[in-house]
Amino acid sequence: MDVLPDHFVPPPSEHGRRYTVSHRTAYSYGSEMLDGYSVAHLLARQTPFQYVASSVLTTDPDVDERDERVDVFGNHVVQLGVHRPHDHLLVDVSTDVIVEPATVPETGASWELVAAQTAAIRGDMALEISPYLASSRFVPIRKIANEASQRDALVAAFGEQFTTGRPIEDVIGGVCNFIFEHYRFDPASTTVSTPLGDVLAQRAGVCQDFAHLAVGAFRARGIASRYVSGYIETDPPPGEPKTIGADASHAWCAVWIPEYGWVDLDPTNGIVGPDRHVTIGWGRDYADVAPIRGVVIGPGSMQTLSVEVDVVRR
Amino acid sequence: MTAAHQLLDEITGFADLARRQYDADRILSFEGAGHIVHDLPKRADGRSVSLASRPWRLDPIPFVLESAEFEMLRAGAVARMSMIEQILADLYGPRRLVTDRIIDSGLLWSSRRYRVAAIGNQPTKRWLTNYALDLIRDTDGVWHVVGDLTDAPTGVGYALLDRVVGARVHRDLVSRVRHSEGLQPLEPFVDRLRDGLADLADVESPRIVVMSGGVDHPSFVEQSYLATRLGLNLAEGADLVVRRRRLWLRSLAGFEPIDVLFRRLEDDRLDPMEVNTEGGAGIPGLLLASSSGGVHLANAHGCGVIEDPDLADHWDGAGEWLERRPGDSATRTLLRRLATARQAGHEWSLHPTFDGNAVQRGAVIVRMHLVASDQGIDVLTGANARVLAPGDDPAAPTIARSKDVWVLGPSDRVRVGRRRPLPQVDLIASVPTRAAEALFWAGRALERTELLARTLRVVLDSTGGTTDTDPATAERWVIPAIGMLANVGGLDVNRRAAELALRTNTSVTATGALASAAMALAQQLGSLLAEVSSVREFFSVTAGRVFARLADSRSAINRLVTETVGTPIVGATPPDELAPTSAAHLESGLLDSGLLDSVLIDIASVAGLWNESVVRGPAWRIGEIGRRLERTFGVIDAWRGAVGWSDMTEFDDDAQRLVEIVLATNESLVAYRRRYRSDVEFAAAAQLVIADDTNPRSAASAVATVAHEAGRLGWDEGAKLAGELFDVLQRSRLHDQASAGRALGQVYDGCDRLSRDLIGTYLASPVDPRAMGGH
Repeated sequence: MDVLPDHFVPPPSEHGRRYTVSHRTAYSYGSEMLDGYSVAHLLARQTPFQYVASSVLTTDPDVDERDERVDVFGNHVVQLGVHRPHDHLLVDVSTDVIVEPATVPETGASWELVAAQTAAIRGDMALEISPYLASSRFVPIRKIANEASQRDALVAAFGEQFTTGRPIEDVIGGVCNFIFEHYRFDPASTTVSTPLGDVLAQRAGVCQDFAHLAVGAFRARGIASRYVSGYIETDPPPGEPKTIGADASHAWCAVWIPEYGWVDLDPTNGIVGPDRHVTIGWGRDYADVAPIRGVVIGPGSMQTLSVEVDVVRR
Repeated sequence: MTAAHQLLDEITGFADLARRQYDADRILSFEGAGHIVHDLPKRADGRSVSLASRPWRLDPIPFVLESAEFEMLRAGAVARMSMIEQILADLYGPRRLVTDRIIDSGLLWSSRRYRVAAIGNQPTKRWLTNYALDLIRDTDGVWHVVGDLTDAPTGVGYALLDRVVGARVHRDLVSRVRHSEGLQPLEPFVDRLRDGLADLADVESPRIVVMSGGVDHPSFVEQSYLATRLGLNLAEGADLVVRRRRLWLRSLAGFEPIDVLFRRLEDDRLDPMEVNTEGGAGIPGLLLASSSGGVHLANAHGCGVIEDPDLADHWDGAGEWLERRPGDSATRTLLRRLATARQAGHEWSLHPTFDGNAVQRGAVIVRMHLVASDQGIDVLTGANARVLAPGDDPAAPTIARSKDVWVLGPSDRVRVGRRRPLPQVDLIASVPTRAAEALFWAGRALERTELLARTLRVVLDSTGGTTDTDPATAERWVIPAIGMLANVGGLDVNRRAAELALRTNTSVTATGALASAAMALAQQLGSLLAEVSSVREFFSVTAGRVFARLADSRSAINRLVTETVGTPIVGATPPDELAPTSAAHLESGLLDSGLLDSVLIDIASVAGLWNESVVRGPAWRIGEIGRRLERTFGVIDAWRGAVGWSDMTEFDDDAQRLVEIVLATNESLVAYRRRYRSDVEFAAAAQLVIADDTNPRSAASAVATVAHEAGRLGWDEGAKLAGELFDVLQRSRLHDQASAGRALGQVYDGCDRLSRDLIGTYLASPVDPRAMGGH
């Protein structure tokens, strides 16, 4: 349940930056599949800082069925079905957004106060916040069945950031910088299913891992935090033209401050507040907003996947 | 002394409890439930099967409940089901339990069983259609709830099965108790369950299927048994498909709409499109269809949250809070959960139980079953009971021993049901393609098993165990007989080694080919059982008993071969030669003990039941085509094997003996003698076995049946091709070996094409769904 439904979003101001994002996902199945189903979290949603002019998903081949819905977190979900033989699937998304500069609040409230206020929330706001306080698949802060909890490890790893009485905005900046400075960005170090414990141990990962890490650091202290999926505008190396298709999906997170709302932080880039970020949606962790996943039915074969993303400022 | 006590005293006093235990074990295995078959081979679709899904035994001493005590439990259980229905409606609806912080929302959201996709998706009628609860009685006589089962509660099928067994084991007693004390029946609950399922859909005559986890699911036996008792189709994920937000059954007749899905699978195995599902299991899009009202689920998706052990202790408090009315301070919950932490230290009341030797006393867990329909909530007047070992956690008993539960009292309380009309076409024409496929492979396995068993029998018989013939004679007919056996069984037999073995030994068994054939026979029996166990609902109770006997024979053959060869047979290379003592052991095991005869008789029974007791719908026809194609292959394999290893240039006594063996293998020797009343001749024998369509054992007759059944099925190409093959057989010049060989080759290839075309036309069910990677 989004507290700010789409129609509450103010029209873009003259300070907004306009981005066009192209996101192409190409599956090649190696042989003809009889049937295929996929579910995509690829259409961008409105946020207090993001006006979505358009977000359009097309496919090749044309799908036989297409259903759109809004999930419990307020994200736009598209379900696709190709019910005839096909050996590939291209999913193209083109999104036009205007992103407003974000403000970072200065509440001066200690993180302990934020945690206490969060714990006391009732009513509809409790519905909004509670998913982001829980243990989840990629952010295990509670022992479930035979899966270990990372709560103690997270508390220990971020102990320096949660000092007594420290204002929440300082803690947010601290956690963000700590990951940025002490964790190595290394695409070879993890996969989409690497557990948080491994990321903590090897101090390396990619944007999803760092987002999960920051989410865990806050949830372990009773502060609501959610995982955000989207894109970031990147600069080419100095003196070189920007390479088409070189951008990628990105992930960061957000922390909830009572009476203010959500503050985004991008620990991969050490940035607080949405800056050159385009938001698709959010959830408890990656599993809730995986950009695209699905099931194909057909003979066994070699499957390949390629993704191309371009974020262009207009 | 109460009636219950008197009954128990009487039963525990029986001098023959051990015999009754034996009867119970045997009947359960006949019903295909208590099976002790652990290593069935993989089925044609690659899945393995275990019939050992219910490894526990039934205690011959029932658990007996007095009417008054049961009425108390009934009222408590009904109230509890209503309470849980309210909790579910709140957890996935307004969530007042969260907004008012009655339960820890962090705990709730941390549960994998709290299903995100269910939030805001209120089912049309109700969350729970079926519900079960586990109860235990303490030494003060107080009943405690130790488990609520809301996801896909199991046990109704087992309760029905246990009653069938219990009533047979104590036949005299049960009929007496029915009249005197009144033993309440279980059957009305089956009708109520069917009503409850039908009520979910607001259509005149809803189509309902039972969604099972397939043969490799631990509860498959129960799922299959319950589907049969409900008279509903049993379907698996691959049989069902979502299109245009509706659920359809892939049947031989095409896509058929399904209104209600009685799922026997848990929430996380329903739809792979949902977050946090198990692998690729389920029906893609099912939850979209159900949230659009395109199909109704029993139970609704999300009900499993009640079973989460981290949350279970919180529901009584949550339920009371939800049910509290102004000025109403009374607790409506008559049965309360005993907190998990307190379960261990409690003293339970003990009940008599038979451990196989003597009557002991043990604590017992009782599982009651309820169903909600538009008429209200009904309770099974019976239950499942499980015996606990001392110190057991009631939620996880360590010994596998169940009890039938007898509820005493007049049965006039039983409401007369309406029995809503259900579509009558269901079980004949609308067969899931997967079931038809299993019948096809079962038909083929049935024929091959028969042929292999008979060939083995005939070879053993005709060689008389010992061969006192000189090597040259042996080479003329014993070696070809071994060749026939090898070809029929697909065995890897070294001809040269067999010849050597025959020169130094006097027994044909010594060649090792027979041990190898026995192994192949056990494997074929395994394939047959694996197929039929996945479509048990097509076969009668009698057939179930025969399958149980065949399973026993299979185990006996495996044991025998292991003893003979000295190694476990799975994956073992058969020896080229057996020691004389081993050979003698194998021979006497197969022949003298009647093992092979018993297999042949049971296979004949299955074939008879196949013809007499299975409805002749499209599925039967497909199975029948499978049988007849395999028979054709078998005739040709046997013929080619015998002829291929022999040198019949001169038709002398030895050659005649070989042809007799071929006729006997084909079970046509008697027919031959009746027809020709002469010495066996090559051309006449070939005519009888291959081309004579009045001999039901001939290849021509089998191919004619294929043509006939293909026509009835509406498979015109198949009928046409089979007709052409029939003509080939009729026209072939069988006195000429080369000509006969060509004709048989053509028919063999044609049958192979028929088999592949049939699969492609009717059975091409999609193979394994696989997850697509994503980023």
